[in-house]
Amino acid sequence: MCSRLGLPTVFLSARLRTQMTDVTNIERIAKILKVVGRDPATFSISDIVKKAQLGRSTGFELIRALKERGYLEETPRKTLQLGKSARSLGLCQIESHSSKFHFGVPRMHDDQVTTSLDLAPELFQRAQPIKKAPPGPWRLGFANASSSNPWRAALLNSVYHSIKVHSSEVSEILYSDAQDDPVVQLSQIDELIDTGIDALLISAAPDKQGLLTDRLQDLTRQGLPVIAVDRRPSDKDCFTTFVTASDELLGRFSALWLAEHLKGKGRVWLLSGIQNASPTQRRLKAAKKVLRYFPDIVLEAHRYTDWTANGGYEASRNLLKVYRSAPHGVWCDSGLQGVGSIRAFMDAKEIIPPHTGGDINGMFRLALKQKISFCAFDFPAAMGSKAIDVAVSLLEGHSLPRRIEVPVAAILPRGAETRSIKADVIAEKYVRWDLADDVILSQGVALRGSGT
Amino acid sequence: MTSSQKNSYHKSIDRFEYLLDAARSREIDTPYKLAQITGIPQSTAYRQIALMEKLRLISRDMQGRFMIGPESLRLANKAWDIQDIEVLAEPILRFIRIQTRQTGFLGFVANGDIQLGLYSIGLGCRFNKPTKSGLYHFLDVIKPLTSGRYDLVDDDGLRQPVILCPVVGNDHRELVIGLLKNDQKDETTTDDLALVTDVVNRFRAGLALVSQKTES
Repeated sequence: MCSRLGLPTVFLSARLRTQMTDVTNIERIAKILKVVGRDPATFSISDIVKKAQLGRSTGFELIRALKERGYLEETPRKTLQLGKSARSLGLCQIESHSSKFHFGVPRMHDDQVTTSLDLAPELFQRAQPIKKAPPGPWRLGFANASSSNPWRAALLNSVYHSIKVHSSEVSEILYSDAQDDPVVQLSQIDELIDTGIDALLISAAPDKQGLLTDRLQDLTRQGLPVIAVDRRPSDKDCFTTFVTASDELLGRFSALWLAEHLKGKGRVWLLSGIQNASPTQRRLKAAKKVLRYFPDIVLEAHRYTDWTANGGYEASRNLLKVYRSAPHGVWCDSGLQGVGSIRAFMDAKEIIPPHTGGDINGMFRLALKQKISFCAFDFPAAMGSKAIDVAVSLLEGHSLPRRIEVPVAAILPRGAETRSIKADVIAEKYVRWDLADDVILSQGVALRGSGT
Repeated sequence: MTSSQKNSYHKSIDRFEYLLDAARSREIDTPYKLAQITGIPQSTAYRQIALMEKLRLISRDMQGRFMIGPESLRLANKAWDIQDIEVLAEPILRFIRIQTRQTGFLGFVANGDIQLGLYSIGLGCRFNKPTKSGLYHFLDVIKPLTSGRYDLVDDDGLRQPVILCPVVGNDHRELVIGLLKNDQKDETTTDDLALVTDVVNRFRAGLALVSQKTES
């Protein structure tokens, strides 16, 4: 009936035509700006129209509109360069920010411990440029240390999510799980290489003897982009770039929060992750560095927990047996073991001391439910997604730094802020009561597709 | 060429700008919300968002929020005739934010104006947000620009004190790193200036490495 009457058909096609025009005009705008940006003050209008492969009439009119809007400027030689509006395109926040919470800015006092961070020199060093990559779409390999805890599963989830986003650039990702064994990982890397991957992502298994070093060095020398994510190999020369978050920030600021929360005195237990894993060592070192400023803080015990709830539970239960009373604070480098530690105190019917460590939804749920004072610096599992971005950028020929850090946010419950440590996010707003305990909230947008 | 066709080009630029502005806020995490906030019809908006993401004019952060994409940043750098500096600038600006809890920024100084580029928004009751355009004017033209505290005004004539430290420059424009300060002069200014100066030195070292690589 519609086509017989004619009107709706005409209406629909006109609407569709407008939509299509808008879409293609945006593509044309991008083409024009790119051509002018690549060689500023070089080309005349007609040259640009040709180079951007536009129709003459459309091209001229669109360039005129872009000039009127300040995106293009004419030089005295009648060539074009990018204008004022293009110069303002870079106005952009580097990270999202909640404007809903406004806490006081800490002022440094004479007796306040410095919160200064070191900036890793690798942040300002460029990665070795890779040899010319074949045209995409590319095949990637991911040699994962393990998926033995929820955080590592979330990292993998984040990688897979990003592969979907980059479907036009990445045709396939091949995955291996070394179960934290460097010997297994070495053979898995060889298997991945044999399949002809264009870039290798690696989260290194704990490798004190440097078993991975030679092979990875060979691969980087051959020009294969090797992107370390979360856990880097021990030798800094055997990867192209390292995607991580600041373990130093996490260790130092969580320890500072605990020390300030305890007003500078008390017995503290330290619960770390996997003994030979690089993040474990860096977080512990940073935490101890801060705690040294507080002479009345006694570091009573230190245990490794393998970043598992069971490891945290056993560590705190055994320590309770040894010391017969709860400490004043428990520093955990992650909530993965923190949640087990809290349960150990609950089961022992002891007063639950303040804890540090986030990452896992269960930690936030339990700590908030039990009204425990805590401080979390979530180590973002979404860095898996960032690692894929980095791999694609390297394969596209972009120059990147040796180290890329993703932001870490401070998450505290209401009323738990200290003089130096203020919340970026309120824990009560961050926790997901609707999701399971083992969900890692820091996996970002990948969480939506996880089906949890 | 009819006037409606001419208007359609401006309309396309309008939509291009609406989407960029909405992405710039970093508060929107679905195409639906982005379409709603820009007022662009849903189906058109979805297609335009997909296209702009594909062209990397807009992209998403780790939490899925829309943001200005790498291609837009690259165009801005080209417009300022400067190499791609985001990867070096991001840790620097994050560092400034952590150390001072104030808004740190990259700025481009030219013709008595300063256009803000990347910035890290501060936290707390005393931080300032840049204006929507990120454009400010110097009250006095100062050449050469040296590190220190300056007074700027925005397009509405409101005063904005800043700390600025030059990074690199030529006769036409200068790249600076700075902090948006509050109106009252406080005792943290000296510390802040020392911090920004230290950061600028590291940044310069990074830029030098970039240049060496480019030359080689």
